[in-house]
Amino acid sequence: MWATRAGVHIDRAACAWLIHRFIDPDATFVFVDDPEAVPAEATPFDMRGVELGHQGGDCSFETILRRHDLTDPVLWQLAAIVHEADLEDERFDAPEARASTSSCAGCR
Amino acid sequence: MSGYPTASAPGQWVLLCYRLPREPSTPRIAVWRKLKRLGSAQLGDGLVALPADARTREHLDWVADEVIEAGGTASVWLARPASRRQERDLARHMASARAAEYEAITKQATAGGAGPASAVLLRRLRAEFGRVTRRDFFPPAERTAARAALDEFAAATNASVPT
Repeated sequence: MWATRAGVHIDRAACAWLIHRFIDPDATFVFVDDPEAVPAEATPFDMRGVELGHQGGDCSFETILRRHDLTDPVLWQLAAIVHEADLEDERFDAPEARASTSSCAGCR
Repeated sequence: MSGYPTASAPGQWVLLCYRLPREPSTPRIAVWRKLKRLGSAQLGDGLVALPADARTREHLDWVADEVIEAGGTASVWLARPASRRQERDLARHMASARAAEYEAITKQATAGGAGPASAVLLRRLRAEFGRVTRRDFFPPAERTAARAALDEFAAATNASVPT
């Protein structure tokens, strides 16, 4: 079981896809409003103060790729888009990022 | 999220209250740059505000984490200005900060000229426009003017570059 914050946001949505597709095909997700509401048996991601969160300038998607040794260059290309859409720090030149942010905003 | 607040009650804001050691200065500067890039309003020493939405709340959450990692203290709050006037003043202050940034873009785009060098400038100004719109919560009229100046500059640039 995996847990993250409620509300659609680019990094979170991308992480859930990544986890389900590449790490845990039977993944179930719970969405919480407060970090203390994370069930004990769940692995939290993209939340403050958890291992699978923002780490050293990386977004959560990149952190998960690193922690799980996922090295597929296509995933890292996606990571650049997610990073740019989420952090907006211009570390990568990813013009797709703005559209990703807008479509996420549209889901809310 | 856009436009001056006109609703009957003040909206919700997200506040970051933080303290960072004076030294080393690198994390201090990194945090300051991040808050500036987000377009946050400085309410006081170590207290900044943004209109609350999923994106701004998340950004300030991560900045708070960064402050704590750098040995500081940080807390994130959701708050409402006690009066509409207070909120309007804050919005006006933020809008005028953005207006100055849009004006700088308009000025450069208007003076841009044509030729191969202008294509590089156009790209740079468009990127800058994108950055400013991302931190623009109360769009001033200068935004429309900057957009128009960029469109005009783009038309002149494209006309001068053989395709």
